[in-house]
Amino acid sequence: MANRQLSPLAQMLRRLRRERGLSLRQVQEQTGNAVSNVYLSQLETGKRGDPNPRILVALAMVYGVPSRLLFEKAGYVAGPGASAVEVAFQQVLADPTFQFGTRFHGDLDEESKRVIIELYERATRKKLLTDKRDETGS
Amino acid sequence: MKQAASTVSLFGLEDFARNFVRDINHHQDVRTEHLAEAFRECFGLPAFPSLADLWGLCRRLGVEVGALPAGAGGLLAVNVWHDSQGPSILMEQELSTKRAETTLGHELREVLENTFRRVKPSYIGLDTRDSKEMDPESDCFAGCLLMQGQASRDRLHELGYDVASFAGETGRSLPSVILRAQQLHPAGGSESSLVAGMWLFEAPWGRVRDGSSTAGDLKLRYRAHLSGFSMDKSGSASSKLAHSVFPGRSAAAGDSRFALQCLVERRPVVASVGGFDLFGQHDYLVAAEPFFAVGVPWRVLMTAVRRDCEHLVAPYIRRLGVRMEARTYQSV
Repeated sequence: MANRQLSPLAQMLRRLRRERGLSLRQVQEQTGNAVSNVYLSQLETGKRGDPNPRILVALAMVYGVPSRLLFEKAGYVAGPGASAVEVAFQQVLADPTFQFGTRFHGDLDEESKRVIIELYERATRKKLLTDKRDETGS
Repeated sequence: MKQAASTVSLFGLEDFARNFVRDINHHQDVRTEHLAEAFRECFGLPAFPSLADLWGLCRRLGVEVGALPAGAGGLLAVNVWHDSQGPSILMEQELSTKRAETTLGHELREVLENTFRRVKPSYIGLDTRDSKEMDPESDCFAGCLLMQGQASRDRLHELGYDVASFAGETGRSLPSVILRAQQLHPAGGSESSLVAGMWLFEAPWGRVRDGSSTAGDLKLRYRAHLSGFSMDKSGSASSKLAHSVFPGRSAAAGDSRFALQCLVERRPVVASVGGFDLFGQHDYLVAAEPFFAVGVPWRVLMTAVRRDCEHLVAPYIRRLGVRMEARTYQSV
């Protein structure tokens, strides 16, 4: 399949791996088997899409790039101009020391994400949202 | 109850998790019913635990339970666990007791999943942050924990599969009982199992509370197909008939002659429905039971039982106390 037909994420994943001279199996090993070589190959060739954010976090750690970059390519977060809440929420997702789960009606909306971010801030004493009311600033 | 936990720390939870996943490396190898049973036995929960039972257990296990702050959007509950602290569960303050029980059971499953990963880093678990991946398992666990398998199977059988009475006795919600009945009666069960379909139509609670709900507001919200009950027989005439008599996925109560009749007459309706096959072996007994709140329609429970299983629901039909009407439909 020609590169121009691949999704931005597929292209980025293939480029990052090749630049680092890693085989699919080596990436699998370096992610502690969190990402199988078969699945990674499918992601790179566009046969699979919408990977779990945890997969992207694991790959970002192996490739030494910010998770946010892969989230953007996957379309999970907007590029520059994304809301402060969305950016902060992706940081929460990327922190392996913090686990959470939810039960909600419909989609996880911005207010729900803000609650999770605030719980994260309380637990880690990190400040992700500069101002609690400065949420949707783009 | 083999063992009542008396520990006042997270060690009870971690010990349980360590023991449970000792030989399990992947979440696909976790059988939810088995996990719920092991959890119940280890921590001394009764067959039908109450909210107080679950809350007390959380306290004993070191899982903090609190209220979600106001303005939490669509969140019903969240569980969080940072390396520096123990796990905690926060729930919406306005939840009814029944909803809170299910929610706490749901959240406990996610806490357990994270405990598995903590005590056994090689365990490949579900991502608790991904609702699409985690929620079906958490809901299933809550059902198993709140309604112990064998006790539920036995009591449902004694009650003639009267799920409304079962819900009343055990304090569980009617939807959760219907979903649990489905889990307990999978396709391919024993030959003596009840072959039946159950459908629960429900109006939005806001409309009921306002006293403005009408039959048109009741939509199909929950259904269970017990022991392989199916409306699809490869486009056969009986399948077409089943589709014309039984509710489809997006049905409203007004689309079903039985549901509508019981609402209009404000009493249960029981009918014998024939025409499915030449010899009547796959005819059905249909019962529709209306529920009203604030004087307006709230729910309709419709049950279709294959005639060769009719004896299994005799206590339910007796409880409804209505004369059976015979109806025969033409095969389409």
